[in-house]
Amino acid sequence: MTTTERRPAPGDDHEYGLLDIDDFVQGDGSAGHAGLPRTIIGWLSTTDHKALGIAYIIASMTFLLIGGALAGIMRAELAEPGLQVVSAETYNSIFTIHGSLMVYLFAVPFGFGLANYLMPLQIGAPDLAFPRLNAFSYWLYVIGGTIMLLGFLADGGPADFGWFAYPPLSGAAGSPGLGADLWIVAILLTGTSGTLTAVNVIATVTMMRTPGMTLFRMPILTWNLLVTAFMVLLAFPVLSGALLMLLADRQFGTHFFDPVNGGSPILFQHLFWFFGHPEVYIVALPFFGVVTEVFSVFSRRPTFGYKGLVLATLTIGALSTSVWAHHMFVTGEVVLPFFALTSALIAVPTGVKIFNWIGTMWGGSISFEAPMKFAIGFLVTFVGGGITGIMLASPTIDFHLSDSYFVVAHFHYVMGGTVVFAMFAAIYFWWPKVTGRFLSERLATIHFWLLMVGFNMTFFFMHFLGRDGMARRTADYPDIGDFHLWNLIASLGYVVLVLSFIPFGISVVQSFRRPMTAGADPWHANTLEWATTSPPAEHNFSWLPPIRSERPVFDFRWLNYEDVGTAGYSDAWLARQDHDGQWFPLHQWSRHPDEEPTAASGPQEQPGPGQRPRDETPEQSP
Amino acid sequence: MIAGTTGRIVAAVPALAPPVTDQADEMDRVWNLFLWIGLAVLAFVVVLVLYVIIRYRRRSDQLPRQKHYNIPLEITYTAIPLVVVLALFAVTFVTVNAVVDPADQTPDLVDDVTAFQWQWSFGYPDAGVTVVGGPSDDVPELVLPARSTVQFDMQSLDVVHSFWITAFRFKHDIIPGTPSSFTVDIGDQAGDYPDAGVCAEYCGLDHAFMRFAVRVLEPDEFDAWLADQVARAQSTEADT
Amino acid sequence: MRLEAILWTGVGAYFVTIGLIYAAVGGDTAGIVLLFAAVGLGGLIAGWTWEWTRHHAPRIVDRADADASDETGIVGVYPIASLRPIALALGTSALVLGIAIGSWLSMIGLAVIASQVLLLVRDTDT
Repeated sequence: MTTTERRPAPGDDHEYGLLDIDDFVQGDGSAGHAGLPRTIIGWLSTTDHKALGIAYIIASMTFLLIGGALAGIMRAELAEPGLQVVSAETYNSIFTIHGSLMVYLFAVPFGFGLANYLMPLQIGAPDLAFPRLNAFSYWLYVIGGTIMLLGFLADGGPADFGWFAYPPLSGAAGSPGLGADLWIVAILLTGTSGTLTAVNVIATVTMMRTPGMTLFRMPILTWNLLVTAFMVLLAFPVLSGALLMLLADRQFGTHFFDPVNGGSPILFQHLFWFFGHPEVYIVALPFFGVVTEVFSVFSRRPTFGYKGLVLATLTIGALSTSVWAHHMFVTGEVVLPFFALTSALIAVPTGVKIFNWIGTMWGGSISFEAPMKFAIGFLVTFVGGGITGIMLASPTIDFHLSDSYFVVAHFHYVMGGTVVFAMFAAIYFWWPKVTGRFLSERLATIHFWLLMVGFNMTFFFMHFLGRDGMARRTADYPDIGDFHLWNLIASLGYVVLVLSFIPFGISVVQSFRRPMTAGADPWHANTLEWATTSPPAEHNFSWLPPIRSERPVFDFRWLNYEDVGTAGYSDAWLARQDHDGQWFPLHQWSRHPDEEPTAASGPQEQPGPGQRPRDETPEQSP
Repeated sequence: MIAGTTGRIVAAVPALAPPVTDQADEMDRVWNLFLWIGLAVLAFVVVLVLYVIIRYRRRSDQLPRQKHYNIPLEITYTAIPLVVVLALFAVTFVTVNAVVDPADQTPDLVDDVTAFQWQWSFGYPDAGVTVVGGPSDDVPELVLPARSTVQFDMQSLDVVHSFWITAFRFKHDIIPGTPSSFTVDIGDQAGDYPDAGVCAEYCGLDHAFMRFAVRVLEPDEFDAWLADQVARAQSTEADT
Repeated sequence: MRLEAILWTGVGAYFVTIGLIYAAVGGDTAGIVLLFAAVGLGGLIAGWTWEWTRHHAPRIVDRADADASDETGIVGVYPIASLRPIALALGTSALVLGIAIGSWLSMIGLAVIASQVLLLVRDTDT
């Protein structure tokens, strides 16, 4: 896995007859973070999707670090049988807040951060459809997250009923403290935040695409964000409703979930999981979109089976709303065959995606810069988690494994694949676009391997723990069999995981000491966000290439070579020829038809027909 | 290292008891099937990925052939997983009712299981015997006769608990306000399973310690044990 | 917009189908209700997009051979910065938090929301 000399620099492409986006993009971005606020009041009042996207990512990663620290306490406690580090009561709060932070405050908001920053750029829009609503969503999220953490200051500590908050344990009698109410309030606020963001995303994708960007030319990431947004609209209000009912039980003396007075605890479970299962796909889908982009760029190939991928995403979105009670197989109250079937079926479109990703790489020219390493890490980790998911989809097997560490292993593998590996793929990939600078490839390699080893050490042996009978959410375990050994390995693995963050942190800090040399399109990528400066200026685009396929920037770069993208490969290329088979000269595409062509509007010589493609420029990083 | 029903690697005494019921035997067979198929699929995908990243790594600056789609291939790799998944579902469908549906014959023994924060109580209503766990380490023992059909009637006094006997490969959530039951056929082997009983639904402070032991006795020994429990209860009554 | 309309109609159709199947196999009431509510959700967006196609000509953005220069002019008017969102978020949070802490906090939250709504109206040009 060697890399070659250096990243493409502006001017390289001319040598090979390729068009250099930097020649057409106005300005060089060195006017600073042109769109980003510079004062505190600026950040508090911004409505710019790029600023808010960065804010979402910083906030979500802060919650990640806090949740990760809590995991450290858990692993420290579980390294040895017996209670050494914290009391059972504290441990129970810690795993509750760990799970809640990770799912509600890190994983989903990171996806919203991607949606905020990238989606308008990818469809050629200047911002989201409702900028102030967008800012409102962000602040609701941050305030809500803070309220959840304020539970640590409350009498009785924060919520300690697990991230699912099943009643009657979470009811007035089961959890009488203020921390529990704060938790519920926090989720109500963050849930509302998400719902409003979903509205914004759907409106933007529907109404604000740039001309030529038809639905089936949108990047897969944008498609995934669209499907995610619908799932949010479907799922989050159900959670909010269930939690309002719970809060009413706690505060207003209602009895929705109180069995003593005719209420139904299992109703809460149905409502919660109707939200809860789409929730995990809401977490995953944006990251599927991320790796689709990365595989395509670093294999120098189009996304294989674009329409198949869109169909698979739609199928996953649809099926994910119909599997919820597989979390309730052991209650004896659900229609087992229905949910077993739908849960098993969801493996099919997921498998299609995996094969499409492999198909993208197949026959390609693969280089292993940081984004690609992490995307491949995602692929193997996620497939592992998917296999255990198919096992859990069978009630016969789930009767034994439900609520055990096998489930903990399963969801960490799928979440780890997506929200950890693919997240870093996204960060390394778009870092040059967002900051105009590069992250170190060498440090990224160390980061990747430490993460790979640490992650597997921590979570692999949990499969055995679960199979052998260790229940989840337990502060302690009996010293039987290999429980101690596997827990100890998992705890050591956690240390390696923490170490893996160090090279990343160093890389981030070092990056800001470098000059902003990234240029518009440092990776030679495909989608529209690479057709503007790095970082993008206010309102994103002053010029747009023609959009004739799902890879407008790739098409534009290869504009001179008709052999690339010949008829049958992409119908976009047919549109560029007039009736005599002559190619349109470039400058007719980048100005209004009434304007006079100017001297500075790109290479002046017209490409001749039948020109052979020559080799592309070297484009690796040190 | 991974194969088999216990998944153990190192320990001399594995944590997971061998299957104690007929249903557990069947569930272990299903587990093995899914495990091997799952590992095969995982191996296939990982090998594919390794092949691709080695065979197609970048060797020159030549732009590779830009293949956008291949409909027959895509249909194939949709159809084959679909068939595999449906086959696995068929296996599930056939086996899942083994424990869930009520038994045709009347059970040999009915056991009342009561879960409360944070202990268990096992009642043998026909004999009028109840076994209750005490504080912290006083773990109650669930005694069962071999070669019998046992019906468990469960209820919770407060929050949601879950009655998990790892040797049964089965658990059932106990939701307050919703009494529920299941029936199993205990197998041939008598045995002592001190760690087989776990509460598997988080129920508050001492959830981790809400455990119980399971002991399977030969039917005549079980009858003797039950008679002994009755006698003890009567003598305790006589004392008070 | 036709493609969007077809897409959302498909969403509605899926939920009708799965809702009926779930009801037929004896699913729980809450699940059935939620699945049919999802029909409404998809149908809401589908209905809007169909209405849109009836009242508007096909958009430039949906034409396969359109260029950015075909649709020049102002895309929308957005405030570049505004304190309304954060103030509204604080007010809303106070409103909801008051359920847990005390109704005095909800009153404050309501007051903040009311004031911000008035200011939003003032901010609006049209």
